[in-house]
Amino acid sequence: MQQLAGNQYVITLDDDPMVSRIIEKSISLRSLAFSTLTEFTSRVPTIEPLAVFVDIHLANDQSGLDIVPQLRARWPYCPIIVITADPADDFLVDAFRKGADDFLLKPIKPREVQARFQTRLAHLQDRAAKSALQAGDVSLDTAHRVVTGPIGRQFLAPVETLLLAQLIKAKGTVVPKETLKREAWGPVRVSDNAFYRKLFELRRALEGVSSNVKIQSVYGAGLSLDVQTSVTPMLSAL
Amino acid sequence: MNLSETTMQKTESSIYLDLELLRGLEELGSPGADSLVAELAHIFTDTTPVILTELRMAAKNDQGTTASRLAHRLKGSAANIGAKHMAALCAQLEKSASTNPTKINQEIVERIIESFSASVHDLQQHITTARQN
Repeated sequence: MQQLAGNQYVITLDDDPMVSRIIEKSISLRSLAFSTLTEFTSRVPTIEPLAVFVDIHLANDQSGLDIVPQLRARWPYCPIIVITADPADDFLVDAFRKGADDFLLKPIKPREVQARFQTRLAHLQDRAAKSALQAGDVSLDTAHRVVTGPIGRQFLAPVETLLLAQLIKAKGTVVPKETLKREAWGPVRVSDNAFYRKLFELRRALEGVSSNVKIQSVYGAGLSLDVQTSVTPMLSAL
Repeated sequence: MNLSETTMQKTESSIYLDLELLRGLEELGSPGADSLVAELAHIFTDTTPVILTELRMAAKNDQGTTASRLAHRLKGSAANIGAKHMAALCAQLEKSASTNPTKINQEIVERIIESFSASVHDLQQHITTARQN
């Protein structure tokens, strides 16, 4: 298992307090225990867990599945493992549709918890690494649609994210306008007007994060990403 | 055969407990009174009677949906502490209460309560034996 920092923790949402303790001991990580959806939902905006374990059937006819889509949208690379006491549970199919990564059956077995947690964590961290693109001092997180640079951080619309991702992948070469349209909008026909409007928004977002990375228009050919490398003090003195 | 061996043999042959599961839990820490099993047994002993009282009430009033939900909850916690006999009875009640919600099988409810007491007894013996070893 990879080295994990001491302040990392997982979440357990289960009305049975034993479950959180077994998970905590199994993976040697602190588990914040919640027994109701209300209690957990109110804390979601303030926490960043390493993984979430969610019981499907909670007390008072609540379903842990109700919160899974919200968790998946908020934490795209956080393993969500659902827990059920019934191996033939129809809710499992629903759990996967809603974004769960894996499941555990009650009784909770420590070795199974360890194995599933480690496998899912490694898989999602690998995906997270692949979703990060870099161009000069600008990085693009395609999963969260966030572009970050030395002077700021901007959220992008889905189409803007796809456009920037294509330009970064092209590594400074010119990408034809029609190729960018196809990559960003798919088979949908898009007017030049709409395309340039999105480009304008993207340029503005880039200006908000770095002055070293700019989108250049190459007349009649397409667009490219111009990445200025920083000038060292020695060179600037010359 | 000394007392410790007799106790061990009795616990090992318990019809109420899943000893393999308990051994898996015991791998996670020190055996005996401070073990994870002891901690879980304490939680189980503390939290279950309230749910059993609610279950008995729901059964008495033939509230099938409530009885089924409570049986499901008890099934999970009993299974987690290795109380396999109780978990099986709870599964039986959960199914029958959802199939026939207006007529709850009172006998199963009483058997669950008896099984809970027997499980707690055997768990305590198991913990004592583990501590002695």
